Amino acid sequence: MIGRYLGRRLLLGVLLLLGVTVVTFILLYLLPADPARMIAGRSATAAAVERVREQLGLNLPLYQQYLHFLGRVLHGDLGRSYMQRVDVSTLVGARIWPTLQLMLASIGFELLLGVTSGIIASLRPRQAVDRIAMVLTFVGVSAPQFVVGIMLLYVFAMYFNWFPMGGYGSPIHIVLPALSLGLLGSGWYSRVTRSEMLDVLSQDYIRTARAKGAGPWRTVMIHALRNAALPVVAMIGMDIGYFMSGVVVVESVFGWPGIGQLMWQAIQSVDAPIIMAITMVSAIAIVMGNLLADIVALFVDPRIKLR
Amino acid sequence: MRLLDVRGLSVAFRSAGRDLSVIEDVSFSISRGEVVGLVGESGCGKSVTAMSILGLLPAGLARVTGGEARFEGADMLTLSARELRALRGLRIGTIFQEPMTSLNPTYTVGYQLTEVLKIHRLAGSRRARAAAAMDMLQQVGVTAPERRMGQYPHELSGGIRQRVMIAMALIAQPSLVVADEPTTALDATIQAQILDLLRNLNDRIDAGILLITHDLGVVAEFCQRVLVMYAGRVVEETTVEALFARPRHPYSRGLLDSTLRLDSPRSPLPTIAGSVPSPGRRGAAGCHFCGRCARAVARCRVDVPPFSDVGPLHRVACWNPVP
Repeated sequence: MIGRYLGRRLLLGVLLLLGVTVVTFILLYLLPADPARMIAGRSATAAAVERVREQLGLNLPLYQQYLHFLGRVLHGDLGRSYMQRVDVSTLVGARIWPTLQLMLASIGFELLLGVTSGIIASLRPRQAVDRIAMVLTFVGVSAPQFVVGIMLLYVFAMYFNWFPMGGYGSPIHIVLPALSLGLLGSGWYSRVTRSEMLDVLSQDYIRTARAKGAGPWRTVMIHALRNAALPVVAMIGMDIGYFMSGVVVVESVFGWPGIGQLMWQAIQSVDAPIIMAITMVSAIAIVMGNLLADIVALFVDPRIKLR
Repeated sequence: MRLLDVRGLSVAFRSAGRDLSVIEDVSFSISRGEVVGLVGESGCGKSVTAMSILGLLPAGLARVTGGEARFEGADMLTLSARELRALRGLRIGTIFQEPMTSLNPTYTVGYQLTEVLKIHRLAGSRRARAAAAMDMLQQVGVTAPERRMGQYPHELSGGIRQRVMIAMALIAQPSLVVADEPTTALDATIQAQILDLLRNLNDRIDAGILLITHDLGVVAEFCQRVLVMYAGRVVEETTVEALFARPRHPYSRGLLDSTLRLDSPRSPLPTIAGSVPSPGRRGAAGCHFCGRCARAVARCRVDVPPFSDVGPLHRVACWNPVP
């Protein structure tokens, strides 16, 4: 059963990936910038530019360019960066791990802050704790990530000097970028957790648990939370999409050597092979994230059957 | 000594900043081995009475405003949350109405059964708990208990679910069982089975049972004594025989008359006109039933009728009881 489900989801994932590459390819083609001119240099002659264009195959019709690209990708060749003259797979590969670290750390922050504050708010609905938590999550949800990032930098790195201004290496470097990415998501998690918990806590089986003599901790953490967790799990899956967009900005703000920063540089120089590669990596991450969320949901709620 | 002795229990709901009295001065008692029925229409306060004794009223919405409920000597209404928890599940088992929604959908039958033992530290090891749970399942007539232990509530039929619920309530061998409409959500044939089961099990553990129901058939079948509640007050308390032979309160009489019987004449079923007044519209003075009562006299609208003896083990709160 689950085998068939996985097969179908993977097939859909591949189709999605194809769609994403087509759209990105067309968008890049439509850009007014001319990569051949940028590579050849501003002072290059028209003939030199034309030679570069032919070398890169940029003189061919769009559909042929796309088919060439697709053929190379299927052979495991993501091409060479226009600007850095290095294989794209080397460039991107070296940056996936830092971004993955950042992603795990920020999801950790999101869950820690969001789910905890959501549970606490749901236990005291409409009281002071709940109101404060909901106002804070509203601020968190509304603030753009680069604003949060710059504010965190200003307060905790410049003013208090508790954290480094940026860079990569030790665990302390990851705190501020992960917080700037996670704060927004934690607001959503907090609100979803709160409303789900409020619903679950009024269910009959919660009364049953209390009638059995379960204390508040057992009632909330074992009987209620598991039933409220499903939408949160589904959100983690979707969250990876938001994360991929946020990471471009936040990695640039903090000088985090991940694929977001690479993407930022590539977009500025219209380095098409890198943009294509990172777009594909992001699409794969989103597909995998949702798939993973579905599988985790199986373990959270026994009533769910995948087919 | 009485197992449970409730005196003058009063409960209020908080609504729009003021207290609405929903339970007024309810008194009754249960001894070991005794089955006491609590009957009345929906909204008359049967469940609220039971839940307030157990400390299971929704916090912040409802509040006990007076009275005491002595269970094995201790007043449940003044116990701390921790002391109350130590009684629930261990000394007092509770069976709820909806077996569909009263079991946690994300945990196995085995987990939910053994949890009672775990909370109250009744069996030393995981294996001992599982053995006790399987034994209990067997006692409530669940076949293949080993397989059931690993199943989730949604994989079971309504009858089996209710048996699991009963097993959960009785696994710690409590001395008091509160059964809140235990058969209402079940098919008629399953209802009889469940009642039989409850009776047989109780012969063994000799608990006192408070059976909340609106079904007089269940009362006739199962109870020894009955309390009839109306709009938050007990209006009649008597033995089951006396209630069916000669109800004295006009409300009890109306309830009995509106029950469908096999030997009923082929005429429209009599009903009690109107409905239970909601807590905000009961008024402080007089009998709550007088608005729907054919036997109401002038005094009924002014003074609350006292609960007075009309025979051995038979008490009624009425100014003009049925002769």
